[in-house]
Amino acid sequence: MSTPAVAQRRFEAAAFVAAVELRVDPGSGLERFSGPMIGGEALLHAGTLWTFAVRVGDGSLTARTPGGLNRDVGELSAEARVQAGTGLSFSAGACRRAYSTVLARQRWNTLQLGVEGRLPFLGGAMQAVARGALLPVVAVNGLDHPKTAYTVGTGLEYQLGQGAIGIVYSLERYDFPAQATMQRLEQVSALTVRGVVRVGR
Amino acid sequence: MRRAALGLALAALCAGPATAQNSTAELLQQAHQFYEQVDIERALLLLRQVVSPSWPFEITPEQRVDAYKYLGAALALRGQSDSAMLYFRAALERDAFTDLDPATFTPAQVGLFAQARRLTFAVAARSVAARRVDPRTERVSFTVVSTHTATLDVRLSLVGVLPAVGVGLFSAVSEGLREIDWNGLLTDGRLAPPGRYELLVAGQSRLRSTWDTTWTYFDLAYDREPLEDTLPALGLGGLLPEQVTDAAARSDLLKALGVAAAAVVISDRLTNHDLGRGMPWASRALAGVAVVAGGVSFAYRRRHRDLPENVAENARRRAERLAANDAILRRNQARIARTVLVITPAAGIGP
Repeated sequence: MSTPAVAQRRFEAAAFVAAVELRVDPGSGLERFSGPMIGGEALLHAGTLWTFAVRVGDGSLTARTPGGLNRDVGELSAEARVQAGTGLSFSAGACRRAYSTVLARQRWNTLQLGVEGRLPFLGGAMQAVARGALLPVVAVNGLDHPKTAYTVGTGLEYQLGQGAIGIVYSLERYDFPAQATMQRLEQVSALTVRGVVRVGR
Repeated sequence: MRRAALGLALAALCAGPATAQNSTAELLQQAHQFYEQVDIERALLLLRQVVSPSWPFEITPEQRVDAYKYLGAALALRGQSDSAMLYFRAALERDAFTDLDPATFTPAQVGLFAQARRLTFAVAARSVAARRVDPRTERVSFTVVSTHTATLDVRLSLVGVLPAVGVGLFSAVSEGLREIDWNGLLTDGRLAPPGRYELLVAGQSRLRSTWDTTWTYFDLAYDREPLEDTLPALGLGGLLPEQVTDAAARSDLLKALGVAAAAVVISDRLTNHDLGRGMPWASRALAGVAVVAGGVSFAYRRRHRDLPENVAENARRRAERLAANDAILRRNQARIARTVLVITPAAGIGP
């Protein structure tokens, strides 16, 4: 027999596939990488307010500019989200991402504070999603803390019985401080299709 | 004898205003004693003193009626029928409840008094006594009287209320004393509302072409548990829209267009200019999906306006409210059924 607290818990599993583009200017010219990324996500809804999520992803980015090295990307993130009103929620999370080439591996550790808004339409069957987050902590081995770091995104989500399918366009932007005459700039764009389904009762 | 009466009157005068009524009462008591001792002369002397306009002390209506009654009785014993009749009539005119007890007075006195009743017409209603009445098992009793056979109309009405609220209690030929019971209900079967009531007695003599009216007042209050208010009607905030409005359809379209615009703005404006736009084809693809979704939603909502889930939810809310109100009404009916009427006498129309 489940207790009321247990009865209010709800689990969801999600999978996503994304088209990702990484643009980097280390100060010596633009390098562009793109490729697919896939991953999964586990979500726990505790009551009506709180949601906890863990997400893993893996992808392979191909150099689109001459002289670039192909790189693999792996990501592990965790996030806590709290509902602040109808369609509005705030989140805090941490992410560890690694870019690997045949020569080296670069690790990114970030903390983010975000907000997400959802507007229902089509009688609630669809939702318009907009989200943004500041990244107050960005630790990259070999690099200083960026002076500008944020992520924004927008998309649509369609409810399908016990699940949902969504499409989101997102952008991460990192402007590192200039050193001497050079400034490192990076941005990650992604178009993600994500399906989520309720697990269990 | 005259000296004794004057002495008594003088003694009462000296006692002062505080004992004025007592003086009248003492003199009447004295007169009663003389009458009982068949000392008619002394009794008449004292009684005439009491009803004389020069009597210096306060005399209540009841005392005056008593004096007239004994004056009539004393004069009847002396064989002065006409004078006795006048005093009996004076007593009856002031109080139609006046009566002679056949066990105390002689048949001749009683006969004269009956004759006086036939010659005098008056109706009266006794003041309502304070009491609590459970209308399920008890009745409010009113006592009215007519001096001789008359058509009596007794009606109860709530004072100062328009349209008039009332109930007819009696309308028939009656003679003498009559007890009239009231069950606390109006003609429509409902419990009489709280307030001040007037009991009006109108009589038309059957022996003489004369009529008389009298009235008395009382307050009626409820003693019962407070009634519950029923739930208010479900207003705009309590019901869901049952049809999609044009504004809602347009709102859907605007939300989708907002997503499309946001995707383009993110890829074109929020990226670093030195790095160039971030996957513009992806933002355009999402914008396209959003525009199509918004258009489909707009068209669908305009063609399918009914919201069956909302209709069902509204029906559930209405049924829930109806059931709650039915329960409240049942509880209130039970409380009303247990209402106890609290009757208190009142002086007149106003408080």
